[in-house]
Amino acid sequence: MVTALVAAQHQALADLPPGSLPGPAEVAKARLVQRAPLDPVTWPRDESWRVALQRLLERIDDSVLPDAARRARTALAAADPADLEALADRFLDGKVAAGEAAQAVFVAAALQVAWTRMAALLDAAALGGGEADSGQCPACGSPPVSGLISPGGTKFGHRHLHCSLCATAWRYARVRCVHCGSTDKISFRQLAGTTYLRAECCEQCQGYSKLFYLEGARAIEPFADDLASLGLDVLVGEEGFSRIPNPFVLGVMDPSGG
Amino acid sequence: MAVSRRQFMKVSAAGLAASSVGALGFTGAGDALAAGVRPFKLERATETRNTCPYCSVSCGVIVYSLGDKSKNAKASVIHIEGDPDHPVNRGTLCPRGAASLDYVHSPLRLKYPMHRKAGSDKFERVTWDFALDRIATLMKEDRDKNFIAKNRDGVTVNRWLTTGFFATSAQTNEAGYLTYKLMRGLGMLAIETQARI
Repeated sequence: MVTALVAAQHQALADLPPGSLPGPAEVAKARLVQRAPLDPVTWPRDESWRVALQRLLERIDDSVLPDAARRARTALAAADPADLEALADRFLDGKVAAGEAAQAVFVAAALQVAWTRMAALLDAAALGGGEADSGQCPACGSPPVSGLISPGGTKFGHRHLHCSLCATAWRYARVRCVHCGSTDKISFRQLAGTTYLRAECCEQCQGYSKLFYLEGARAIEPFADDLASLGLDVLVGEEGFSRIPNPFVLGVMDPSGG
Repeated sequence: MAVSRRQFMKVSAAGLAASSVGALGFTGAGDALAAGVRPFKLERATETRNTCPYCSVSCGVIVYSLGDKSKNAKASVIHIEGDPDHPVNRGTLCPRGAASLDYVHSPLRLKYPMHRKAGSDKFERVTWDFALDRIATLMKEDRDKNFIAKNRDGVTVNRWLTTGFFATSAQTNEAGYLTYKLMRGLGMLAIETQARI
């Protein structure tokens, strides 16, 4: 089903209206106050993401959807714009109710399309170049979905974090907690016998994030392979560590409190 | 259950069922996943930043080891490579630095203070206390014998030229300062702290 969803995302991205973009002055201002220019909470959302959602719902391959997913799709297609905007707000603020979890996946997918489109049109140099040293996306301020370790060349061993919303990649120091920035007491967990995927666990904030070592893997997609390796999350979760969830598995996880 | 896309979550089989994965109609996916992953053992690994011990360039390295120092896991170094975030070498290493894994595991590696007595043909392991006392005694003997308080013109110089001091490349600025102060305080002039970058 994720394959069908991503295929529909790709189709929806083609000639999507670029949306209202922040101008150079707004980007500079956001940088001054250390806020991401495309932060979905502060940057006003236009209707382009709903266009993306419409296209997604139309083009997704219905035959692979389970019944519940199909019901969510029908409900979304019939929903009016105000309700959709409210749902998007709830997703972005993180207040998705349990009953909406299925619809939230489609909303997340559509927002990803719109934000990826917008982020791709921003001037990367204006965002602070490759020297961003933050665990949050320099374009939209969202948390990363996973990190990739470069396999060779002049960027050998660099870690690039990949944004969960706008697909921006940015460099971040190795052996440093993505969530709290601590470099103390970082340890790694991997499935015995594998070397291409590790969870970087921080004793300080009890958080972890995934790292894919491209040197030992053929092809890795930071978002899809995060989903494909949920098994590691289960085991690492049993050791008491928590993460920021992949937007497609929102609500998948027990809040760390209970 | 309201969950945030910015809030920490703990992944579990039960959680997966009660989530968007379950809500999309993939019931039982959580349990299946948890059961599928059960045969795999979770291995602990460590990546540690350190400084290459070889020369004064002081390249940053990342030392990869399996196991961590906790509980009954036995840590062992499996790989060493340049630290891509280190400003000095930006991930590169010279052949010697790149081979430092062999240095870690070498059977010839010096792990304890060793002492070859005068007239003996082999080294014997000694305690740190013995080694430090022995070094201090020999330093004092040599200094008492060769210390130069005044030069030919009668100017006070307080030199001790017959002994030199060699410090590590991985030394911090602060340790370098202490080395210099201590050794110059004894009058020593041949001081090499290596770490000058």
